Parts: sequence; structure tokens; C-alpha cells
Amino acid sequence: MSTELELVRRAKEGDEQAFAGLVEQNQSRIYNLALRMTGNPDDALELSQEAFFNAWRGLGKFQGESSFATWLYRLTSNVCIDFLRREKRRSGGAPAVSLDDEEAYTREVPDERYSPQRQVEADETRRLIRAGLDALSEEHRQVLELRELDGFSYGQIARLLDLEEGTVKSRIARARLALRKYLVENGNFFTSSSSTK
Amino acid sequence: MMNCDQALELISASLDESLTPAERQALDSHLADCPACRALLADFQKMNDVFSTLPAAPPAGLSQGVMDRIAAQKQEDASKVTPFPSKKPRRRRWVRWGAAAAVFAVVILGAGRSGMLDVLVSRNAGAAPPAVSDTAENSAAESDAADAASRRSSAGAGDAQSPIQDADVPQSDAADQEISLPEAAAAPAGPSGTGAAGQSGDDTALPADTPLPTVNALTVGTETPDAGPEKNGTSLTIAPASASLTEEAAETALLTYLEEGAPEGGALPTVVSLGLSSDGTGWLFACEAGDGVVHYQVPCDGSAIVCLSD
Repeated sequence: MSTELELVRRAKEGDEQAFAGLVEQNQSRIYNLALRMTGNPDDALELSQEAFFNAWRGLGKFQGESSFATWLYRLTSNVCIDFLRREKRRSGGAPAVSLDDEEAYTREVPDERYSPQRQVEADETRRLIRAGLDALSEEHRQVLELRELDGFSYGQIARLLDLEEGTVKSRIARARLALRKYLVENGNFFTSSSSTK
Repeated sequence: MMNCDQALELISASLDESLTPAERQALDSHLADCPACRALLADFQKMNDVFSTLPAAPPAGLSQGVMDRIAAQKQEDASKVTPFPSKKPRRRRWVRWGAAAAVFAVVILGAGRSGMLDVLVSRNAGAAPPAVSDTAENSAAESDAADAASRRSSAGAGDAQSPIQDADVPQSDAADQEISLPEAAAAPAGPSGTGAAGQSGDDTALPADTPLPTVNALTVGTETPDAGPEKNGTSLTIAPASASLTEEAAETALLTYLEEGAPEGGALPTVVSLGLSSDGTGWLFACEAGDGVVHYQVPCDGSAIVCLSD
């Protein structure tokens, strides 16, 4: 499997298959980012594709000053922000996103292995951790999402947020501590017996 | 000996990255004696597990959809005969429209001498840098247009007056607006509200019977020339009834503008439309530039594209 560097090099030369490889590598992260920002799977799909398409067309301007993944991530974030602005204008200020929208957050196909009881518990723990994320400060939520949901490394997060890596490391630790505190105080996240793996 | 605060960071890091042997050892010996931190580690691990179940699987068609769109774009680029990419056709068009512009200029000047334009012109004395007409090419074409000019102005002294009066009419309109003449004269018979306006005029000289007031309903901006303060040449001001610039035309204008400023032809800049500005005077765009975003406003009246970012 080619490294990101190699795929980018070939894609910049017009190799569509190489770009397809980059899409494969990044689509889950990009789609979930769009999903988080719009709360809507259809919009998320369309915006993800638009982001990838823009990335393809803008490859000439990508100089490798950051990793492709982080460059693409920023691009996607901007595409979503612009979309939300337009939507807001169109609907006269009504928010397009509902972060409480359970449906939008997880689109997993129900796993047949789980009994209904265990499924309910698994859903509950997911609901709780999402609520916990929402309750965090912006700073804490942001780093945790980038690390836990988007899978970025400390180094990539540092570049995305323009921070020192040490700061990222310590901020994530504090974010986890804050989240844990929330989960201990609200609901039975740690006491439920459901296994999620 | 490590304290719990130091242990916190290592515990957290151990979920994300490998610890160094020294870190591993220090942490392990702390954990051996600290039930609180052992509990913390267990809790962090559970959170970590649940996090991994949150992300949704991307829809199956996502990747293919992207590649299809890329393929479609490639086809479109290959088959499209577009005047935009190369400068040469554009210059030819300037010359042609420059001729028509000269025609217009003669008529306006004629009207100006009669004092009719004083009100309009003076109002624009302090206006922002206009969408500049390429005066060099105008004057070059002027001699060519001499015949057409005389034909036009003799088409009826009365006629020379009425178009100007029509141009006069929209004084009540929002702002006096400046249009670069080549575009003003590029009006095909009848307003066309799309970005194709510029292209459709490529193969025709200005028809002798194109009514001048048509300029009022023009789609300007399809060929916005480089607008910079240093290029502030003479451009006559005409107040149109309405300059209806569509979003697509504005986007095209912006892409052209960016292309001109871009170094050795790379990929097209990526612009995203943000819609009409809140005061309705222009279309807003965000342009992805490397690792940042630059915002532009393309005014509806055809005046210079403005960069809104630092």
C-alpha cells in the first residue's frame, strides 16, 4: 500500500487512481467531519464529495507544507462552514445542525450479534459519551474529536491547531479527565455492563 | 517518583502513542502503588473503546461518486471550447469590443459636449477604482471604428440623445455604477442573464441595430479585466437600470481574475460561493489558497473584484 506521500506525488501528476487511493484513505474521516458539522447524512455525503473534488482540482496548489490529510481536513471544514452559512442565510437564521440528532450521528447498521438488551446499553453508552463531548469546553472537545474521532496523531493535531505537540498531549489528557468527570456524574457510563467491542 | 498529575499525561498518551521504555517503567511503577490512577486508566480505556464505535461508515458510493465527478470534469475540460483559458482570443475580443466601445465613446462624448452627462460624470468623480477598460486597445481600435462611429451618430442626432436619456433614467438607482466600456458594448441584442453573454458575442461585431439602452440590462463581469489602481484609465460612467450579475457569472469572473494572478498555470483555483452579500451589492466567494482561505467579493455592478481577506 502506497504511502500518502507517494499517492500525492502521483495524483499531482494527474494519476486518478492514486487520487482514488487518497480518497479511500481519508473518506471515513472526511465524511464524519462533514456529518458532525451538518448533522445530516445527505449533506455530509455531498459535501464530502465536493471537498474531495475541490482537493483534486486544487492539487496544484498543495505544496506538501502540511500532510495531505490535514490539508484536506481544513478544506472540508471550510466547505462545510460555507455551506452552513448559505443554509443559515436561506432559512433566515434557523440552525441546520442539531447535535442532539441521534440519527445523524450514528448510521451504523444494527449488529445482529447483539441482543436487544445489549444493543440498548451500547446505544446508551454512545449517547452518554456524545453528551459528554458536548458538555466539554470548545478547546477540549476539539482536541478529543481530532484524536478520537478523526484519528489524527498528536503531530497532525499540533499542525492543524497551530500548537506545540506537548500542548496537544497535555490538552488531550485534561480533556479526557474532564470527560471522565462528566461521565461519572451523569449516568451509568462506567457501571453499565455492555461490551462495545 | 511520579505524581498523579504526571501520570495523568502518560496514561492518556499510552492510549494514543507508544511510551518510551523509561516512560513505561515510570508509569508502571506508579500504577502499582496508585489505585486511583489504575481506575483512571481503566476509565480512559473504556472511553477510548466507545469512541471507536461512534464514527459512521461512509456511504458506499462516496468514493465512486468522487471519481465519477473527476472523470466528468476531465471530459468537460477536453470537449469544451472555451475562450477563457488563453489570452489571445480575449485580446481579439477586446479589439472588437474596443471598436464598439469607441463607437459608444463617440456617442457619449457627443452627448457630453452637450452637457447631458455632467451630472453622471461628476457623481462618479470620487468613485472606487472602476472595472477598467483597456484604454490602449480602445484607442487602437478607435480608428477602425471611425466608420461605424459616424454611421451610428448620424443614424439620427435624435437617436444619439435618447439612449443617453435612458441611461440617465436610473439615477434613482442605488449607486452610480461604472461599467468598463468593452463589456457595455458587448451586449448582444437583448439582455442575457447568464455568463454565456460574453461568449455568444465573440463571433459577431456589434450589430448596427443593437439598441444602446440594452447595456442597462447587461450581464457584466464575464470578462472583468485586471482591476488594479495602477491601471485606472479613463472610463466613462454610465448608470445602468440594473446590472444583473448572476452567481455563475460572478464565479467565472473571479476564476478569470484569479487565473490572471496565478503563477505558471496550475490547477484552477477552487472557489466556493457564499452567496449574495448582505447588502446585495455583490457575490461573496471563499477561495481555498494552500492552507488558508481568501475571501472575495464580486460586485454586481461590474466594478473591481475586491479581496476581503488580509
